[in-house]
Amino acid sequence: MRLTAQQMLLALVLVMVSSGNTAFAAAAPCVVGTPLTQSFASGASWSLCARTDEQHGLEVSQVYYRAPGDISRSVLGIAHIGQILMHYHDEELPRAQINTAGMPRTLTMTANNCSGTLLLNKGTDATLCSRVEDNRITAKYAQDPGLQSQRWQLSSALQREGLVWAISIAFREDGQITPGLSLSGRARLNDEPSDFAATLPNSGQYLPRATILSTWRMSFNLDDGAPDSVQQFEFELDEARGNRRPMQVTELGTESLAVVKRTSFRGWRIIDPVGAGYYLDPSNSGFSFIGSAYNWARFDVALTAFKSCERYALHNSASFVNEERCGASLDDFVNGETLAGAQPVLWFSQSRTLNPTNEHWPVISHVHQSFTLLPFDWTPTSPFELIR
Amino acid sequence: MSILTVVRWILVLIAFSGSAMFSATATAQPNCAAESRITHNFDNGSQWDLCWESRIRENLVLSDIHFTPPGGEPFKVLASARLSQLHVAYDDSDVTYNDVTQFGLGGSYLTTLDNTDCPTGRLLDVQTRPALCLWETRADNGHLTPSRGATAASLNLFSVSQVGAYAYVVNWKFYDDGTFEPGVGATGALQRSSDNTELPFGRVLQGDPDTLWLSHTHTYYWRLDFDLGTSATDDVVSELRYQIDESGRRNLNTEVFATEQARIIDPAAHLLWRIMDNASATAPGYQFEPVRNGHRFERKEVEPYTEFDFFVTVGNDCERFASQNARFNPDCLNHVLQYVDGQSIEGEDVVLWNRVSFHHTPRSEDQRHMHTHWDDFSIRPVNLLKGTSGLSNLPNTPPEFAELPDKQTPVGELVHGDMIKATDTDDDMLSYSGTGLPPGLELRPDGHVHGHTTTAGRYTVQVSVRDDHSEVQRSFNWTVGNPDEQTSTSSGGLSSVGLLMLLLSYSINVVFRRYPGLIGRMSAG
Repeated sequence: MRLTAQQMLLALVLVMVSSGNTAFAAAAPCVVGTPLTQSFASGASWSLCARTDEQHGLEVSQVYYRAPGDISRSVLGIAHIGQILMHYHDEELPRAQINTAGMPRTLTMTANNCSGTLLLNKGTDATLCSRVEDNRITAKYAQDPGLQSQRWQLSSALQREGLVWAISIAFREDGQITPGLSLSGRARLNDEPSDFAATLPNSGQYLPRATILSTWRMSFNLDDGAPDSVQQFEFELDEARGNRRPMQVTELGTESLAVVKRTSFRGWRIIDPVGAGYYLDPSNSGFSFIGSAYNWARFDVALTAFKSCERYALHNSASFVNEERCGASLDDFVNGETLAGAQPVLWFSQSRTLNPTNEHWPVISHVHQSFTLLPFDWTPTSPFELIR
Repeated sequence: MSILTVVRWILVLIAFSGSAMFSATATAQPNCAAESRITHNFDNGSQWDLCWESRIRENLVLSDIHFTPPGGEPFKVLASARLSQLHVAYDDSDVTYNDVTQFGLGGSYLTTLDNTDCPTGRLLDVQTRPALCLWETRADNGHLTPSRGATAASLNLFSVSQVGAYAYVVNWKFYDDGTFEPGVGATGALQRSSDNTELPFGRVLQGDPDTLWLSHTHTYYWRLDFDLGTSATDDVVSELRYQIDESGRRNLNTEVFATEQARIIDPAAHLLWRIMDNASATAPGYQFEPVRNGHRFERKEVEPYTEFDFFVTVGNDCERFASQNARFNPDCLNHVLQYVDGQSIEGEDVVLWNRVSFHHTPRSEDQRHMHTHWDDFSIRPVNLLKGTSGLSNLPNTPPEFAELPDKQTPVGELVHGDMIKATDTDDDMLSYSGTGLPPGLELRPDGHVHGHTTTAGRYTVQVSVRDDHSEVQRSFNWTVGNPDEQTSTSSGGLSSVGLLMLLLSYSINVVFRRYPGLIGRMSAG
């Protein structure tokens, strides 16, 4: 079952009605997936709907955060991985890991590969791992007692051609969200030495180098109600005016593609009509995925108007998204359409290279990528001041 | 003096100089007092050993850092490691702080910690008060397979320094796989504001309409004096970058540095740096991948060193700080870019300097106390371990082959099927490989054999199946063409022995066909 626009609308209405009556609005029934909640000692909590399958790994929807002392408020309509490209350096094109011939399989989670709670059983097999972990020191000021907090991490995994892709989303007690992707599993082997492979000193194996691009699709639904908007923040150095960095905020009114601009600290804020928002912090974007045959893959960010059938950055073919006639890739989705009155969808891509060493054989040690969505004027002050 | 005496003296001098060099550079264990030494053993059998001290300026300085891989020998990693500057530049450009040299992170700036700061760890005293927390955590740096998963354990060592309104959590994280991560968490409270809320250099936060809190950039510089292995002067530093060719393939280019360097991160080239124990292709070492590079501070007109991200210098004790160094070392140069002056690094003790920037745009949640914003980077081992960390600790049953009967196929036949199969009681993922297959056939990693047979012969096929831990081998015969006309081979063609046997067989056949009564007479004979 997939989320249609009508179902999404129904879910929104249900949530709005629910939020008016109770401080824990996320009790709204899941349109898709299984309801999950996590409460923390501070009074903070997360609630959401989760599902796993071979086309997403993990998908979360109807995501609500309750800060200490606050009511439960909607943050995300839906979030999932939108494509993974694996470019072996000796090949001309990257291999798409989702929605191509030889679909990946969802990995069964067991006590052997999940140190947390096993969830989302399919028959006898669990497909989701849930863990609650301590954060490092969350706040400290002078000799005031340090504030500690926790995070709730959901993870599932896809396996394809020996590779294992761990897809996770961590929900922190202070409202931060960290989607992540890790490559592990069995590396492809070459039969003979090559300029495109590393020779491992210990085993003598030839492991090809590869570059990864992961793209997340996130449809925000801040505080329910009216559609959110997106702003691009930039702090360009003005050498002519005393090396100052005036803040420039640009409203993004149409579908568009953008890159991370590191020297001007470019970032993106999703904001609801009353000014509450989340900020996409690209701090972990150290690498760019250039040279691809796909235009969209040269960009780090894409902004589109919500369409339920636009789910995959590549291979978004009708056979996988069967409800409406949609484009085949992000290059089709981004066509200058206005975002006025539409719920924005943020696509964020990150890239990293697997440089094989002894430590990657026989199983690849995690090659990890993640980024953070930061509450930005979501609450008028730190909600944790109340619990000190 | 006889020739023999001279030779003896030479041998004594060689022996003495050798042992002196060894004692100076190949210390197997940290050399410090027990109260300054940290030794941590992990469940996987690995160990980190180091010494620590707290200084007025840098605060935490770690030294004599060794890692022992599971089942291995102690390997010296670093002579010393420290945060060497904490640079804060405000967007209005009116104020810039160099916190380490203007104020310092140690002494009175060091915060006394208690159990609320270090709830699951152990507090260590700096002079007379607890100011260092030591604790073990687990993280996702391990591995995952269809049947197993391992998280990586890590030792964390942190202190908190209150500098102005900011509290800096200086953290060092050492993983059980040899990885280590220097990091800083910025918490406390916002420092600078303006009454002019129209300025474009900050934000007005909720509940305080008359104050503009100013945006700013923190740039952290670390000084890492690597001494890999037994010698401090044979480390080799290189830069690896990828370039896409016209066909779309990514070519690796490696530049080995011969002199001191100041380098700029190139995100499109997926650039990384390596420091290896020596010039050998099999030497172990470490690598820096500049993942945390989404924010990059530049203000080269004012501070020329901010144009660069990574520096390689020859070790010099008076080159302590990345900036404002001359304040405390007046006979020395002032900043890290000046340290890079073309000196050869071959045969020298090498120091690496790395930086990470974070631009802080104030948000309402920063009131009154900010939640910690962490900036760190990983330095991962390269060929320091023998294989994937954590695998050898897991119990394993090797896979077992299913029946592997001999096969027979006509010449030119299409072969297409999952012919090689095995089972694994641990449900590990299995992959197959083989040698000696008939020409034209290919065995894929999933056990599928595909192709057209091209050459008659009898082939001895050796197949291997591997789970995540072990490999099992079996062999069988595969005959292509008429079995009565074939002779066993092992590599697709006739070996010299096979050829001899074939000729012998042919000769005997010819003899017996020509003289059919010979068999009876030989048997009777």
